[in-house]
Amino acid sequence: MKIRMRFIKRGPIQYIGHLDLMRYFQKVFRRCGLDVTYSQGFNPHQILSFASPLGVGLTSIGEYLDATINSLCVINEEEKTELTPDEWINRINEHSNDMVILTSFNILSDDAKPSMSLLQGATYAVSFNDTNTDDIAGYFKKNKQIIYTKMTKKSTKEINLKDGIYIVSSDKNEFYDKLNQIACTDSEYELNNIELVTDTNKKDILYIFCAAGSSLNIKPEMLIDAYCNDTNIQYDDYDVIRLDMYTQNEKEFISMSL
Amino acid sequence: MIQPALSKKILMSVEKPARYIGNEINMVKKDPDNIDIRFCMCFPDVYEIGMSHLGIQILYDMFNKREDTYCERVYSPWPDMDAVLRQENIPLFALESQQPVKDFDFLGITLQYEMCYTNVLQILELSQIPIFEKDRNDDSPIVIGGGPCTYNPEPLADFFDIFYIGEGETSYAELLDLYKKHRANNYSRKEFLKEAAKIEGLYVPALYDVTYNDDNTISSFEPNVSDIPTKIVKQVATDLEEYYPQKPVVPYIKVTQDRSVLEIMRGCIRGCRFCQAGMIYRPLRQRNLDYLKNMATKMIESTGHEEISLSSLSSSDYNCLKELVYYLIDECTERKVNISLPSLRIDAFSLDVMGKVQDIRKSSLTFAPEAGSQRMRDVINKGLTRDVILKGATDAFQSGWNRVKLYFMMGLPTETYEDIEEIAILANDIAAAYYEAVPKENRKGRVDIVVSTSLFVPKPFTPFQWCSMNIAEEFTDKRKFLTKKVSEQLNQRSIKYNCHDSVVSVIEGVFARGDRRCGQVIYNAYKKGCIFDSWTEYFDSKKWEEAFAEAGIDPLFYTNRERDYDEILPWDFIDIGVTREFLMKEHKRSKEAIVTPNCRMQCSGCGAAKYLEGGCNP
Repeated sequence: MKIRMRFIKRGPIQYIGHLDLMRYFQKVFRRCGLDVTYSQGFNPHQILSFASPLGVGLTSIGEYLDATINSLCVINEEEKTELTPDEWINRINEHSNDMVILTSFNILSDDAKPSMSLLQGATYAVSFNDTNTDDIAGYFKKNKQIIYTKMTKKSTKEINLKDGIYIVSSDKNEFYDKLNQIACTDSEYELNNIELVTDTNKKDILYIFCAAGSSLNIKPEMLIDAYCNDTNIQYDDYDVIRLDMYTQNEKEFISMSL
Repeated sequence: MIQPALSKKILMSVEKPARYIGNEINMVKKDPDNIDIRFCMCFPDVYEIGMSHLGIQILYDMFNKREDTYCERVYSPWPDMDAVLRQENIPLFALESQQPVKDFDFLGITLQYEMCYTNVLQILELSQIPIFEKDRNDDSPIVIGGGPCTYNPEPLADFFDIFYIGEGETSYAELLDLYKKHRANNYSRKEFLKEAAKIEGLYVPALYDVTYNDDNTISSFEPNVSDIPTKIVKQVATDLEEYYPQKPVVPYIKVTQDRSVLEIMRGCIRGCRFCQAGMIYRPLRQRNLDYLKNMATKMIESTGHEEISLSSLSSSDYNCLKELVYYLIDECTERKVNISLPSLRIDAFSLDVMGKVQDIRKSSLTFAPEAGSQRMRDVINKGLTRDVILKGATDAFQSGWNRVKLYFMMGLPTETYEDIEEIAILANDIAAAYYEAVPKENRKGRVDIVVSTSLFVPKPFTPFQWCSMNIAEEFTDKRKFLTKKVSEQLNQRSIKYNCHDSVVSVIEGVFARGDRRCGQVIYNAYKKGCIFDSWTEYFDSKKWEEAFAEAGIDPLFYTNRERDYDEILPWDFIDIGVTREFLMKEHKRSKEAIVTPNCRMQCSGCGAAKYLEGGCNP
């Protein structure tokens, strides 16, 4: 049985990389007795995958973890009764800390593709202290082409950021209005949980909806870098919060939680 | 969750910020404002090493069981963080509360190896606690040292207020109660330390004076106040079932021992003459089987670790090993938890269980003959014969292993070049045993033999405590000689040879048997920038050379010198139960290469039995 879990990553655990976060989840699942399917062999391990690794120093209210489980029963308990997804959310959270919070537990169809391969877009909130985010949003709205040089270990590649920016706004209402026109989203969840991850000192927020996944992956830091390079303004103290991740069908983007 | 002491900017600028954020699973949370005693436990090495240490987990559990005490942890900041803390003048903080260590009541530092001594000074300085004991005042934390290196604490005497000699389970309660009493009534650090010095097992170095002879040996060692003991008695826990960390702290990042650890016993029956642990942890005490089964299950459940490991000096000597291991195999297979079984002697049983718990094709077997020739093994009392080693290897090869690790020591007392050559010959014989034991059609490539030699460092409270240690050049020559001899063997292509750094071993040798005057060398080296000396990339032999020269100390006085039996040794004021007479007898027997039977075969009257009511029953 395939399941997809949405979770929040906040607080000091932002300094833990995604491989360590994976090991963290494996331990949580062992502690709470989730009947995860293991690989074969002498050193069996749980088969888990994230939709997209979250960089160190970023927080999120829209992370996704896929797992395959054998049953909804708690292992190592005498009585075999199935728990409901809501009961599993509670049980997993009891065995986690308050920096990783599970918010959904969805059972998928057997032929469901992994979230990693479905990923097409992601929304972010970038928060600054005492910064005119209207200017930044305006810059991205106005310019038709914003070239960003992507450095990898082997090569450098130039990409036009505009190809992967769907929405940029400094206004929350404007952002969600536009987002709802092109995407099926759970904005109520986001509005309820965003406070869990925001630094109250950083009130000026830039909202971004951009391409994510294997074909084109835009990161908010690229946008800020490009803006800084072009305007000679330096921002080095801002937070990036991932709000949600999306897949796409012929008509629209759809939140991975739906 | 506890907010980090450091800003995001700092945390994002260092390697592995997870070392400094605390908040791990099973971390103890208490309100520091509702606590009488704040105790900070320190392992003076990087987080990944320190978090792998069982002793701290045991004491962490023990201290935090007290409602009036909050025990937290701190580890050595890596050089990148060290630089930031100095530059920004940020005091070193404990992981739990993220509050400065200097505001604690106690800073307890475990001393596991000599090469961490400069890191001790780093911890003190970054904490903004005066490095020298004499410069501290009533607001300074009490700095207390523990662990195996305190069996000769003298090189660190100037930096510590108290050394706790022995196992932590026995005397800490009394110390903390005394501290509380003193804090409630016009606390004076000096008065408190005078009273603390009366508690069994506690050594307050400032209350003892040392004088020296013209030849630099010790002339006297006496208390400078009345009513404190002249001999410090090692502490031994007789009830090993009172404290055990059922909920050990689970790190986020991969640490060296990334697993639950089950300590099955303390002490060792073997009596190897080079081994300090084998003497200082006497007498043997085994934990009850049912207790261990229960602890194993509890730890697996509370941590979610994917591996559990047994810990002891010689697990094969645990009386109920079979029952325990088969129980763990059943329990762990069901829970998909791996089992790691270190320090097992190779025999039919261990090959059977290792075949069950690990992938034979990928794992290697470890033998520790410690010396190449039979004569040398008899000198060190390693009761292992060539036949037993070859039989073990043959059995292992027939069971499917084709990788073997062999551990040896070089520089042992009475060692000759013939003894060293025997290391190469033994390795070759083991390789030959493979080709004999495994028919051609069953071989999967060549047999793979890794020979490692460490350099022998004489340690206090061993029969070799009077012996001379080789100098760096001798070690280098011996290494070259062995490299050549390995290459001359018939099966040389199957043998790989590794060796430890000789300069590091020599410095280790100085501090292992050093006296108070060596403290100046540690201080000098630290001020020159030496930290993380146990890390090859940071060890700087030139700085150490200068540190010795500037302190006017000749390292050879401490290493390369045979001591007389009537010389006062720096650690003679400690009573470990094992008597000086026993160590002398063992030293004499070693010179004649006479083997002493292990404790189960025959009691040799070492003296440690006095700790156990009803005597020793190994």
